[in-house]
Amino acid sequence: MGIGEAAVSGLLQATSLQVLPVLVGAALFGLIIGVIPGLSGHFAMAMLIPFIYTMEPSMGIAFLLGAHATVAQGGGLTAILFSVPGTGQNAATLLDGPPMTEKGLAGQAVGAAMVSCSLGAAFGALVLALMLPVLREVVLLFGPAEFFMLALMALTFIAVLGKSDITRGLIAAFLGLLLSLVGVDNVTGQARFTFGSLSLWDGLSLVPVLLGIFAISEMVDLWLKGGSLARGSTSNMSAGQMQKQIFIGMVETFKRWWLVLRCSAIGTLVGLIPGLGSAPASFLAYAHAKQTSKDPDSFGTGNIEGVIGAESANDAVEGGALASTVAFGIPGSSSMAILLGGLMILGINPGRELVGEHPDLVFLMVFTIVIGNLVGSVAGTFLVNPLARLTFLKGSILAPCLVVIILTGAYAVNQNWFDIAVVLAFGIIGYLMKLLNYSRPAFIIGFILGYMVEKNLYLSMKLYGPTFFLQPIAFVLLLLVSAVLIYNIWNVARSKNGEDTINGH
Amino acid sequence: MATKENGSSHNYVLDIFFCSALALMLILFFTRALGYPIVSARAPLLAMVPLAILLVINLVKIIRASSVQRVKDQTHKQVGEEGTQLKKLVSFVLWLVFCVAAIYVGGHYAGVFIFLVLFLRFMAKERWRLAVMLSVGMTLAVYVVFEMIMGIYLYRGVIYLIWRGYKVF
Repeated sequence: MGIGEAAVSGLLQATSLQVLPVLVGAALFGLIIGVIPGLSGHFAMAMLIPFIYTMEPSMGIAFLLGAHATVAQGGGLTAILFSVPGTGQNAATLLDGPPMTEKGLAGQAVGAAMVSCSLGAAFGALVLALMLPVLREVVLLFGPAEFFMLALMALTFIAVLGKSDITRGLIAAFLGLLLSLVGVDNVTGQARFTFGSLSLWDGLSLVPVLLGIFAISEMVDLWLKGGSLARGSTSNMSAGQMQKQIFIGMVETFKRWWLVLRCSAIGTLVGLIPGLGSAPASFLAYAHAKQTSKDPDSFGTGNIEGVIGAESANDAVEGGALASTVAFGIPGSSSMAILLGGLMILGINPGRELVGEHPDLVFLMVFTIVIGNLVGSVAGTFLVNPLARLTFLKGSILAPCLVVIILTGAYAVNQNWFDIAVVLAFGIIGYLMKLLNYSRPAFIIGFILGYMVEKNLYLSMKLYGPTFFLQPIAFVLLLLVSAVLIYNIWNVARSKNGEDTINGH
Repeated sequence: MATKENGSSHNYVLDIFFCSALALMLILFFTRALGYPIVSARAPLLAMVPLAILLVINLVKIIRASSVQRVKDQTHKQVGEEGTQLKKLVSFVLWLVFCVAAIYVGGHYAGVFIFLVLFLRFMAKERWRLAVMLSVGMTLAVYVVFEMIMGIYLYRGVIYLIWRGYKVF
């Protein structure tokens, strides 16, 4: 399938009567999850994973990515109105969003955030589309040895560049890798780490593990926090005044198109590096916006450029992160890891098969991101006040209701009671990991990449013997991994206070 | 529970417990892996060897960063007055187990309804009216989403199965 044909097919699939309603519904769900402080993109995707089993691939992709696309928009809204970032990636929006609200310009900030998000996402998606012809060629150069090294590189980057300290990040990554190997070995038929339990012969299912690590653990956290999720009051503006301001904010954003473009480029570039994620991208873009502004002193006191910079980078990240996920099967973040798991559930193998044989699905992802963000912007624009009220929901009410859906979702996949036990066990493990600063994204990426690591290790050993890592590309990747590790270990070694390294960099 | 991300409020007791549990699991896995054919043991060992080294490094770091007095203080806090968060966590987990048990016995619909009503009333301290209304709404939502839209037949529970004459579950 040619690129042009794939692009048209992707667009037609995304706008078809079967997919579009699912995409719109998922985008609205993502927006709502984003608005609720404490719940993030990976939670939204983890919640939706059990539902994709009964879906066609195009519908499933739109369902997952549609929800993920709008989470940052919802989070931006909460950050601006309540000084609480709905998701971690909106932290940079806190610098200028709330001061604008205090000045009575909440609507302008919301309008700017909504449009910046959409434009940033469109930019990231466009870059992904433009990269596709190159990715198709590059991926052909990769064999088992290279994929094995790529998987190791992804695990290292996620662990090293993530929020937790290196040791804890790597522990989480290798733990995920180890647990993914539970079950019967496909090559020898040897049952591994099953301890006599037949339920473990097929290994630990992805869905219950995901739901436990990302969903149940968040519910535990939500329950422990209790009370309203956000305190304070919504803006005193009437709906009409708010809409007027939102429109002004949108116009102001379009006037600063060059800033949007530059910050989106920063976001997309950061997205290409596994492990960095949206939060550093938005802070980098914010710093860039401040540096290049004519009035840098007003940043932090309610400058609309601060909101535009942070929010456009936020969503542009996804285009970059998707590139490594679809081309090499290497997820750059926890959300991309969940998407990767979802693709596998839908019977789609990322890498050569996806970019070579199904480029239309990659374009479907591109259009899903664009349409999802448009839906999010429109809904966010017209439903600001009702959405804002969602933050007054009590954690003590929300947690049990969502727990019921999570447990039912986990059971529904295989209709197996063992999966519910797995959800509960991994829910507790996930909560402890969150509390003790072990990287959950690294764990889940290790878990998802386990199969790929083992398969490619086996093939590499068969093809090239124990020195497989001396293949040219594999060796370069090995050097890169070693350099990143050595640099970071050296940095940690320089730190004199051991306590600093326990709680992060 | 100490959740703030600075050294003084880091929960060393829980951290040491978590690391030790991982270390025990690793020893168990390691002894098992040594009995597998080399092809099957290769990938697990590839994960376990660095994991073991990292766990040792981490434990050393935790022990260096904490002191016996600090661990003692935290242990007292966990079980004393400031241990309300821990109690809340344990009670939430127990309620989750109750939810699963209720579903197993009463089936998804009855189990979900009973769990929600009791949780919202006694744990969340909501009024009976709100608790019942929310529980009915959520039970209906589960039915509509899973059974009507997705066509998944949810578990009907032991009581229903016995009533229908099943003897093997």
